[in-house]
Amino acid sequence: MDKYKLFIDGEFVDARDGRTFVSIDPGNELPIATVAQAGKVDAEAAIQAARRAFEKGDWSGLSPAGRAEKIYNFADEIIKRGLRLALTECMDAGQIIDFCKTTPGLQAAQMRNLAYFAADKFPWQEEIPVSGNPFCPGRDYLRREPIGVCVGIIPWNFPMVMAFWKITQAIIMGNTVVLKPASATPLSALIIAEAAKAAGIPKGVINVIPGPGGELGKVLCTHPDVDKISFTGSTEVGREIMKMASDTVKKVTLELGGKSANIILDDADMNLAVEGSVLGTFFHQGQICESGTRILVQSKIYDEFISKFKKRTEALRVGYQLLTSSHIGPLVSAAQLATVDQYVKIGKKEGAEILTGGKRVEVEGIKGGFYYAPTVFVNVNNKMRIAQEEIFGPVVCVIKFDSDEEAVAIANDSIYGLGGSVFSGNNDRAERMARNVRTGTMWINAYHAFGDFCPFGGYKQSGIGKELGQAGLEEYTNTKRVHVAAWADPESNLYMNILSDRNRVDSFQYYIPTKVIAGHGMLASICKEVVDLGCKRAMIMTDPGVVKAGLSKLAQNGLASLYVGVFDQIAQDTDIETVDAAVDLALSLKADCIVSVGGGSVIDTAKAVCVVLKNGGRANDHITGWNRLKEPQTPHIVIPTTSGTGSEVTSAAVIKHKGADRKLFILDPHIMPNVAILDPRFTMTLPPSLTATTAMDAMTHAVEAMCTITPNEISNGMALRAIRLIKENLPLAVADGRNEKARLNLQVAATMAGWAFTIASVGLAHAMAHTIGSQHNVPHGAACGLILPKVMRFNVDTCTDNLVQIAQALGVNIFNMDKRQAALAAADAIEELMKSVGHPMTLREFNIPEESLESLSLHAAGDSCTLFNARQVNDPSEILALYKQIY
Amino acid sequence: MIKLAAKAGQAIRAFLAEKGVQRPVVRIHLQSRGCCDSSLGLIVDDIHESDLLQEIDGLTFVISPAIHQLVGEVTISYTDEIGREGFVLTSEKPVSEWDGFSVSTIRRLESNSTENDY
Repeated sequence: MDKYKLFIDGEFVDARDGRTFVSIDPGNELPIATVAQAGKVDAEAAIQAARRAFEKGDWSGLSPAGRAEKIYNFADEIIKRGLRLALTECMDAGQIIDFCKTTPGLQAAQMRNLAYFAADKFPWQEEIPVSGNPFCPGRDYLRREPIGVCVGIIPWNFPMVMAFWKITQAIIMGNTVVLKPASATPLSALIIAEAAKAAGIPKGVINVIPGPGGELGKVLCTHPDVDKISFTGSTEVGREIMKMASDTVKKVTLELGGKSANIILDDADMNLAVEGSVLGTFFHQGQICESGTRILVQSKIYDEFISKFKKRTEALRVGYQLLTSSHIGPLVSAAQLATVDQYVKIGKKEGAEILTGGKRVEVEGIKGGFYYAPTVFVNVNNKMRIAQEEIFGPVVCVIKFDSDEEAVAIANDSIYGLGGSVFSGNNDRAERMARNVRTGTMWINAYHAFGDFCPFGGYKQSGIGKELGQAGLEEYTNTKRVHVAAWADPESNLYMNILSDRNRVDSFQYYIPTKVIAGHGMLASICKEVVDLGCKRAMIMTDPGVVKAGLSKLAQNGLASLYVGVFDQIAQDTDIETVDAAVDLALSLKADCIVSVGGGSVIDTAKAVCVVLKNGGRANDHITGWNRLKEPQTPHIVIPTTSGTGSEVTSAAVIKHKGADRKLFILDPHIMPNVAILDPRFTMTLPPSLTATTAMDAMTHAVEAMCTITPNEISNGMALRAIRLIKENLPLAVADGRNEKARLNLQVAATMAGWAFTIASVGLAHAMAHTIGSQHNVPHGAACGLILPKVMRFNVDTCTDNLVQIAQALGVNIFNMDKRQAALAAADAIEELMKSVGHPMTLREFNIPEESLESLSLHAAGDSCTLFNARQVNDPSEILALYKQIY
Repeated sequence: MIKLAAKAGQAIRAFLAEKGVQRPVVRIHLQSRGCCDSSLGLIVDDIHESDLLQEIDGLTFVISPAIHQLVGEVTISYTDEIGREGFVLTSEKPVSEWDGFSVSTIRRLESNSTENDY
């Protein structure tokens, strides 16, 4: 009789205490080998060997391609031992020879497939192009790394296949492994260990320790040097393993029991359904976790199916497993035989009817052996124990159903969810059912069809995690995210600043890709710009006021044959519904370029439309997206008709969101328009009141850019120039709307102010303006103008120097003033300018009820612009005080 | 035939009282708890004609002759370790290599329905 030893640290050794046990052939109950029986000391030694091997790095430190080369050698050694493996498995596990003769070759191929995949395609490292956190810029990537020491505990039904699964996946991913085969069937795992040694797999990488699970289980599942446990076996034992592993928080994958439903629909190919059901139920004597042990048959075809299934089942030959004539071999043990017989008795007691089988079988010429007849129960209620509990033998329950929905309900009425199938002539119908059954694998018109690249694993109490495929290989890795900060200045790290008294961020980024074309008649450049962007179909987006002023038509004429249509229903404060409507029109027109002609609301709507057109979905999918776009969006050309928003060059689109009751943003450099055409003709029809309020929007951008925590020399330069241009040209443009030079200077000022706040952000004035805009429809520019001077005074002590420069840009004579006085004078100068051009001076003029001021303060405090205000804003009552000042 | 370890009898009585079981007959049976490796378990049941019967400390235990022949003497223990409370059944001839590894409760079955302590 053959003798097998433990395989620990690259050597075959006896058990430390010398114990052995006998492995028997379940087909005739005769002993076939003696096997060393591992005890706790041997388990400890195996774990230590695996840990040393992992830490040494001879295996884990190899590249995936380096490991693949060695695995190919391992696969070759398996092939050399193929016949011995097949025969041993057949005798040890009772598998019929027709099946197990194929296993070594298929498993060797699987080793090669998975090793190659791990070397060639597996995402060991993945860049994360957009982190989703705009406050921590940097490079982010994922690394997948070996876990360490993996324990594989496998059952007796497919010992060779399971040994390959646990060993191969673990070591391909750079781990080391301790395998505990089932005591009833330990031999094939030890032959695999021989092959590993012959192939030169380094010592300690693979260890095989057959021994009783009750004795070894606790050591293997609680040892601190074990990192992962992969268990295939009973749900009861799996539960205990999970509990034990939780003490040291090990990664655990479990493949447990099942009571899978094989659904036969009334349009199934009957012969296929019958053969599939026979395979699904009786293959390997039904000792398979995912076996289709409940056959659900639609009532219309029930009688025909039952008749054919009975006949086909009775044609199966039960015999000694080494005979090629045998279809059904023995069960693995006397205990399993007793269990199956007990459940058959339970089924009879529960009122189910035996159609065929239901008894032990004596095989001619064989004395002993654990043979049981393929057994079919009919008239089964899904609540019966035989329908709910996994029998793990050649016993199936047939259940009749009427509707597809009823079949799904019956299939899901189980604590398990491992496999299942649908037999139908209609793939669409079958796939619909498959989607609704809560289980890890669904076969359609097939059963037991596995694939090396197809993950396998259960739902519910059938287990956790996957084996095989990329998902299975990932279970054998840990995932690490690495972040490499892009900014090295601690004073510019917003998170670090939370724990300091710093209120400035000195480092900055300057990225302004928009091409600006400014001057008299510059609309003429639009065709060239559209074509240079690679486009041919430009849709104009605008508002009714711009249409009425004839400006939309002017732009349309400029586009000539490149024009395909216009969306002109954009309101003063745009919302996500408007964005979606514009997207729908653009899609119907097959527009490949958007030309926005209007003020801030039109331009922001267009920016959002460009995002949705590029990325799909709806506006709500993209709102509050901060720096998450990875590429340029649908091309966008802007022709501003106001001189305020600056949106023609900024990275923000502000959109009203009714659900959030405030304005939300898309903030991303990829939404900066491609081109801004500043043609003063487009602003000449702007009435004096709008000229004033939109200019105050620009003024607020410029001033706030200098009064945030992030002002810098570039943004300050642009802001100061913009402030001067507005101061000098706004009164001229209000007095004479046809003053083209004044109009152009205001446009340029608005653009420069837009650049300034794109770099340096805005603060409290915008937070407050957004709020009264979204809650009470106060035009944004007017709101900004009203609030700006008050906020300037609020910030006077935190950005004194910059306010002094602003005062100078506004023409204030600061001679004889101290800094604070000069800074306050800047606010006074703003108010004087506003009065001189007829700008509204109170909120009351917009019919805002006074009692709403408190709730406005709360909303404004939650606006993200407050984060950037030079003076910290923590208390809504401070904001309330400011609202009251302008009421 | 059946041995009760310390605390087991008291735990069984307490469990049955809590569930309101009137005639406490506890069967030792073979149960399949998913996939391979059946195990011994306890279930509240009626006495069948062919059963082997043993009274211990006011409790009636039954086992089928076939199962008794398969497993030999059965020892019922009780553990109240944190996270591992329940009954542990081991036998002279272990049902499987996982004998004694898991804990279970006493099952009660409604007719034609799955039990509620699975």
